[in-house]
Amino acid sequence: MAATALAADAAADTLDPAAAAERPPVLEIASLRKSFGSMLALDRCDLTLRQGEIVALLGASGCGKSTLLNIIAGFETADFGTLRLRGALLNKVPPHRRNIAMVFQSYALFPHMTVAGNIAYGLEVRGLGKAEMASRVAEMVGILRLQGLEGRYPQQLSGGQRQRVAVARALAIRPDMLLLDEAFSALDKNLREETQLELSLLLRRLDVTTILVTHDQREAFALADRVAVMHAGRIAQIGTPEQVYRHPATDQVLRFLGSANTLRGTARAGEIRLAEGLGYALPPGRTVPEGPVSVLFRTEDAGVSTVPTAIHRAHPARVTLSTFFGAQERVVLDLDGQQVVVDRPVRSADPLASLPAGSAVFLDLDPERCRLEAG
Amino acid sequence: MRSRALVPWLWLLPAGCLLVPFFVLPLAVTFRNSFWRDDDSGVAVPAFTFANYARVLGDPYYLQVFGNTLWIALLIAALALAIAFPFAWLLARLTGRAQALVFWVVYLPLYVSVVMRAFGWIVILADSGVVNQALLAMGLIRQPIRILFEVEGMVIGMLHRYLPLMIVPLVTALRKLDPSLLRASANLGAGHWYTWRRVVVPAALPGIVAGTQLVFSGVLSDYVTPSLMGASGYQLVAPAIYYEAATNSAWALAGAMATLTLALVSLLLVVANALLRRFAPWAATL
Repeated sequence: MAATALAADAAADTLDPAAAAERPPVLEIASLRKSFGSMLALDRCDLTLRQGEIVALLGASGCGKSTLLNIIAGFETADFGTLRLRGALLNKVPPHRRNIAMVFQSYALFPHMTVAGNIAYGLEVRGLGKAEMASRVAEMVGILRLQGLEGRYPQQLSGGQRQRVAVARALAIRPDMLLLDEAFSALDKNLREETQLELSLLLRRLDVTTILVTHDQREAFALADRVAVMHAGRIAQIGTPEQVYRHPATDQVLRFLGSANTLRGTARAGEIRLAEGLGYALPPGRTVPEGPVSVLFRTEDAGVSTVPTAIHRAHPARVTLSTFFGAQERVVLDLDGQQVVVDRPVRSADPLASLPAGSAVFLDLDPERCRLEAG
Repeated sequence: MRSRALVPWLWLLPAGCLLVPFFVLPLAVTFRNSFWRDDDSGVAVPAFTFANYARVLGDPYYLQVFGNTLWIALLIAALALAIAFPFAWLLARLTGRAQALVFWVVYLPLYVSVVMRAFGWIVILADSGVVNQALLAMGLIRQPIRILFEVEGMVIGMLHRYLPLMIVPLVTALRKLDPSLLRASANLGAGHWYTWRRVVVPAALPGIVAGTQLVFSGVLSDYVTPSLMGASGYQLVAPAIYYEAATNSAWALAGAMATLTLALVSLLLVVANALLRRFAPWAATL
């Protein structure tokens, strides 16, 4: 019955940002700081999640995303800052009193309990009656398509099934929030993408406020309403996937999302010189100290053609290597001794992947899409 | 083809050369003796009879001996479990050098012969031993308390002897416990005690069963500790068998007692495994 009720008031598939801003905050994190010995793991972290919102903490290993998740779950304590769940201060609440459920990277299913036993565990702890417990387990089994597996032990399940049991166990307690800790990393690629889509739809349907931790950009973008890119213990940027990708706030964000090129150049008299005969006027409003600069741009933000184009200034370069990836091709160029990687969709009219090494081509660079960094 | 299939069995040859003449054969002779009759000259004579078994199972003295032994085995297993569990928990959590050091301490008693260890306990527990001298000097007692050659002394000696047999299987079981299970349990709302009861103890169950079996079989067949440290009024099976065979020359009776002890140990192993299968069916899926 509850399952149909949940399905009936299914929310819109994605959270409209304007509507989201009016929803009550579930989790409020302010000025969170944590260090292990002399290592600063988290530094001045601020984050607010509203009801039903899914936020991804994205970053390389050691960026502090797992520490933040463990502090929210209560497995670590913050040195400084506050943590509120639905307005109540959470800092000193032990993990077992938080009602924040977590799906662990290893799933952490109890090997001595069946699927049903695992799902019921949190309900048993809460002292639910037998009948209610059974109906909640059945509901979760239905939602996560685990019918027929109730009596199996975790060791007798496939990776995908285990993950679904872990999600069912976490959602069964009707948590205030769900935490996903690299919850897809143990699955192979096809299953991972399928599961991500499925879970994304499920969490929105059930209106579950969720934080997921991942180092996989695709996973973060596939699931989250907002992505918080973390670097060196801080949230470098938070925004919708498109915002952080299109308008990276820092070089680290640019480098972490997608693949980027870094070219060495010199800044002089309002112009950036990248190579002999290749200079760009600084875009209006941009300044950089005179001297050596690094020019950063995404691999898909440059163009390659066999004839010079008139869109931007095209510069002759030579092909070092070209690789066919299916929908995309990657061309590695030599630009006056500097290596440039260009990713572009494969167009049948203008295939470059077949170009032999050494072929002369033209590199087309849009200065608006470049980030400049002194030094 | 046929001869090649036999090749793996050749690996058993060295052990077999030792076990067959020095273990299997004497055991077979003991078993055969148990159905023969003791004659007055102290030899078992071939006359098939169940009389020895009838005597052992009918005489309150022998039943008492078996009862004593079972009770002591149960007591030692329970005490060893109570002491070993926290110790094993600590050991399973330690890593590197600290773990190697604590393991060394666990194995330390095994480096010394059981007879030497018993003598060590005698020095400590005797009326004039270290413990009594210390208690006397502190004025806590007026005269030495008798620990040695009482059940208490024997229990201490046996506990010392069999504790490693309980710790090692427990550590093995607890080491397999994924620490994230403890976090998962807390995350789902369980406090420490609940987690301990529902996650830690079940994870340790295979170790508890294995350790209990080892300690039980050890105590049931222990001859040295009860002989050197035990009470004369509190007989255990192994010394009683020795007494019947060596002093009374009742080899047939001793054979029946030995066979019954062996049957008891086997029965306990079978029952323990059956219980484990019944109450922990998951153990087979690990």
